[in-house]
Amino acid sequence: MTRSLRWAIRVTGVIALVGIAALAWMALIVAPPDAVQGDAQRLMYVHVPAAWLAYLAYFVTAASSVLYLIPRTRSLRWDALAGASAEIGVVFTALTIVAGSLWARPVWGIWWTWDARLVTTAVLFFLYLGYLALRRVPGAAHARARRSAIVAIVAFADVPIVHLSVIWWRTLHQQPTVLNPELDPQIHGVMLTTLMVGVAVYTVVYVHLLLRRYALARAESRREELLLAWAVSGDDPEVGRMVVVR
Amino acid sequence: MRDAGYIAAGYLVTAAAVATYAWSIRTRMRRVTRLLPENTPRSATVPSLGATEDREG
Repeated sequence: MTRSLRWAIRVTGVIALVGIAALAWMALIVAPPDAVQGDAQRLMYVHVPAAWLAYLAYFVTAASSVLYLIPRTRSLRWDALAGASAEIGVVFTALTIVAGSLWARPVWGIWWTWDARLVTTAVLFFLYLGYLALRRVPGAAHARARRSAIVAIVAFADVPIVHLSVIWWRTLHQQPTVLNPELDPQIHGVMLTTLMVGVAVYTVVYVHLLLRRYALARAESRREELLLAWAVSGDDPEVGRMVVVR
Repeated sequence: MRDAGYIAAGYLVTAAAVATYAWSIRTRMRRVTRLLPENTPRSATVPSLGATEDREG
C-alpha cells in the first residue's frame, strides 16, 4: 500500500466518523418529525443515503468494467476496482432493504410487499450477489475480468429501473423526494439539509471503504501471482499445494 | 418518541453493518499481507513467469 493511499484512507476515515456523528445528531435531534409519519420518518436519513451509495457503487463498478473492456485502457486495476465497489454496493443494498423494512413496519403496517420499488431493489441485490459469486469462479485473471465486466454492465441496467419504478408503476413506495422528473425537492428546510448531509457523509464513507477494499483486492491479486509463481517453479511443494485452495 | 424501537434498530443495524464490514476488510488484509514475500521468512527468490499482470493470459 502506498503512502498516499494510506494517508487517504486515514483522512477519509476521520472525516467519515465526524460526519456520521453530525448526521446522527441532525437526524435524531435537530430535524423535526414528519407531520404525517411522525418520528418514524427519521429512518429516511439512513435509508435514502444507503440507496444513493448503492447506486454510486454500482455506477463505479459499471464504469470500471467499461474501462477494462476497452483495449486501450485495459488493466486488471479496473477489474479490482469494479469488484471492490460491487461488494460495497451489495452491503448497502442490503442495508437499504433492511432500513426500508424497519421504516415500512410502523408506516405501512407491513415488513414487506411485492411493490415495484421493493422487488426491483431485491433483484438488484441478487444480481450483484451473483456478480460477486461469478468473480470467485477459478480461472485466468483476464478471463475472469472479462466475464465479470460484461455481467456488471448488464446488471447496471436495473439501477435506473429501480429509481424510475415508482414513476412507471403504481406503487406503495413514495415518489422520489429529491431526484423526481421535475427536479423539485418535496421536502424543505432542515429535513432537506439533513438528507443532503446524509448523502454527503455516506459518499465519504463509500470512498473510505472503497480505498480499503481496493487495497485488499490488489494485495490478494499480488499474493495469487506469487503463489502461482512459486508453485510453477517447484520451489516449495507446500506452497504449491496451497495454490489450489483459494 | 413514537416508534423509537424501529428508529433505534434502523440506526444500530446500519452502524453495526458498516463497522463489521470495515473490520472484515481489515482482517482479510492482515491475512493476505502476512503471506506476501516481504513478510515471509523465505530465502529463495521469487521466480518470474515472464508475464506482467496486465498482459492477457
